[in-house]
Amino acid sequence: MNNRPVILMVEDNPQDEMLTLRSLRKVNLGNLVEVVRDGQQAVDFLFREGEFAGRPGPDLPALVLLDLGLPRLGGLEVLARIRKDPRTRALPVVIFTSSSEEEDRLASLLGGANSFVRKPVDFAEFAEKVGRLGVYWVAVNDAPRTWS
Amino acid sequence: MSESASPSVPRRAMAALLPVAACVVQWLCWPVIVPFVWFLFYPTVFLSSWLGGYASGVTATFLSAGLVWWFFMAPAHTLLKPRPGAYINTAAFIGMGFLFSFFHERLRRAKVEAAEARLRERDGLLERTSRAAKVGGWEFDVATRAGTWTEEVARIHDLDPSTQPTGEMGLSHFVERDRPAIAEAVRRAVEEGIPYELELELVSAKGVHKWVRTAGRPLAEGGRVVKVQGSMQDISDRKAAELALRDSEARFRALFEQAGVGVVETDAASGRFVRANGRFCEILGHTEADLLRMRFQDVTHPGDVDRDAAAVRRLAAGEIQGFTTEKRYVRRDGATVWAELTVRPLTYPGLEVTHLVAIIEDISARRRAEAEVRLLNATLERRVAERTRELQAANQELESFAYAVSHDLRAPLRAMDGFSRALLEDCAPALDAEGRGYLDQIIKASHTMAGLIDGLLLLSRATRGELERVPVDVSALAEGVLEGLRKADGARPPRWRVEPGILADGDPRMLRAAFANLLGNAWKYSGKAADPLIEVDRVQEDGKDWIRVRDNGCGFDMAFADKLWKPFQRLHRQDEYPGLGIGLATTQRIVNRHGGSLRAESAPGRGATFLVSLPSAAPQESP
Repeated sequence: MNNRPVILMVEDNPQDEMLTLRSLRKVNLGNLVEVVRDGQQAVDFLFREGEFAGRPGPDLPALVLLDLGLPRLGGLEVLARIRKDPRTRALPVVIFTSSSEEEDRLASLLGGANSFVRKPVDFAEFAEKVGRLGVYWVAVNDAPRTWS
Repeated sequence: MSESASPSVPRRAMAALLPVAACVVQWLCWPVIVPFVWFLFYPTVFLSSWLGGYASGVTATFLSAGLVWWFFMAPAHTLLKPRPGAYINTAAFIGMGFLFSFFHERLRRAKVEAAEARLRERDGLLERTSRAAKVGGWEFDVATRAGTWTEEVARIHDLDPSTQPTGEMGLSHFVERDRPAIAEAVRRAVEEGIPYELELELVSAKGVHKWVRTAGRPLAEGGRVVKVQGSMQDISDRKAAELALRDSEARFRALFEQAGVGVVETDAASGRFVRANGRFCEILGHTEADLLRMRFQDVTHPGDVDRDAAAVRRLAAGEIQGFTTEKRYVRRDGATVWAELTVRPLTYPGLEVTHLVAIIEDISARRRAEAEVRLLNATLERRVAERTRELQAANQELESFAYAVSHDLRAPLRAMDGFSRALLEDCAPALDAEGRGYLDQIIKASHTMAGLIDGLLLLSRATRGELERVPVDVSALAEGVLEGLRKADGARPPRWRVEPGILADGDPRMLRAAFANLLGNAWKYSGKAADPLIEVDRVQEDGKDWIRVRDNGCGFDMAFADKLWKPFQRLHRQDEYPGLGIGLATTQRIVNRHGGSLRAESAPGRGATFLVSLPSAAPQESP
């Protein structure tokens, strides 16, 4: 497992970021999270481009936790890029958003998201959801060693 | 009549005495003639019977025989003759005399008969002609005032043909109106010898009105008019035709002059106007006199002259039977007039087309109106397009706003809630009970805010998206909602009664939201009743079918009923019945989108009744 990030969190809201990280820390996944703050960064990170060109560490995370409303590149576009590229087309992506719109749910799943999780306002609920998500995709799910 | 039945008496006597003259002549010429005693007497008897007829011939024969016997036959001057030859001669002469007489009599009779036959024939022809032409003759004696007429005149008067005018030839059979004219004409004929010819109307013996043409010619004798002769012809048929023609002409005139459209007649070859009615003059602003000096080319817009002239040429050549076109005229004041022109040839069978008839309707107003309508349509379309764009933009804005509310307003609330809890968890020892209480209030407030946001989203969703129209089983829907409520809050469930088989046309998702609100309210507000009861059934009111949702809960004061439908407006305090005040506003928007109506009836402590009417998409078929 060494130092490589297991979860890539794409989140532009610093408070949500803090709350998510706090919840992941509670399940001991806090130090395995890499955080990027917009869609372009997420793509660059995954494909080692732009500011992440030649980034060290392993190739891909075990999970991408993707918000929908993001600066620059939107969440659905990031999802499309991920699914289009042969290297990442099977990468687990969970949409994690405040939206409760039916359209967003449908677009996400049709776009190839593995799951759609709504961020609840109630923090107890929020913490529980995040914890279970992390545990499931990192510990329960048996991912292949390479994604391509 | 020139041929009489028999010769006159003097003529017959003269013929009978011809032998005396012959005797004298033969006596004088006797030495030359001797011994032919009958020499002159044969021709004489022949002549006598020719001129005087049978009786004259026979008389002349015996006279001749006597004279010859006495004067010429030897021995003369004695009646007794010694030679028997004398008797034989005489007998032969008398026989010949009879033969001549008889022959001439027959000849004369044959001639008379032939003449009579000719006469009869001529009379017949005259009669027939007279009848066919309905012409009769009459004569009037000035002195006696009496008159005669031919059969046809009697027939014209519907009298028996043999009837003759009795007494004075009156004028009483002419109609009152015409009497002065005929009386004056007769007077002038008699007194001044002036012939006349009049067309008059008379009433026959059978009371039939007839038109006659009567002509009178005075006959003078010794400088005085003694008779007036004339003819009378029944011209009723001609007169009727004439009147019909005049009538038809008058109608044509009226039609032509009073027509609301321009009517003209033009010469086919030159295009010159032959006639133009008032309306056409009005359309072009010319007088009729001016127009009759012009050709249609002179008043046609230069751009249309060639086309019109070509059409007229084809019409005159018989290639087309007529044409209709829209064209421009130029008024006297120079303005252009749009007109619809219809041209037809004025045809008479077997004759070439020399004149054309055209009907011209001023369509300037129509064309102006059409242009205005086109302009208006274009403007309208543009405005509709603009409005549609604006509306689409507004809708888009609203949707992105709703999206922003849904997505972005929740995040700060989550932060408030999240960090308050983190504080409670991580820094609990540093906080006293009061501090923890404050944090609890922050958490509570953030939850209320989250509820409001959810309500707002629900409200905005009720008016967004496509409206489906399918049959919905409202009874089943209500049962489902109530069952769901019981599962969520089973502590003290009310009783409920739902009439089965209530159907409505609408969007299933929206109707579910609407009835969930109504039933949720009923559930909530009947919660404190002694024996809570919720009823869903059908009623008919104001000619509409209503779905009624009733409870026996606390109800509300109708004085505040107008607040019911406004978002975030509530009729109960939060500590009595918690809520957001968004449910009924949402329900009303859903019902409105279906084109239905929603109303409420209630009184404090008497429960509340909500009535929903949804129009059916299609007429319901009776089972």
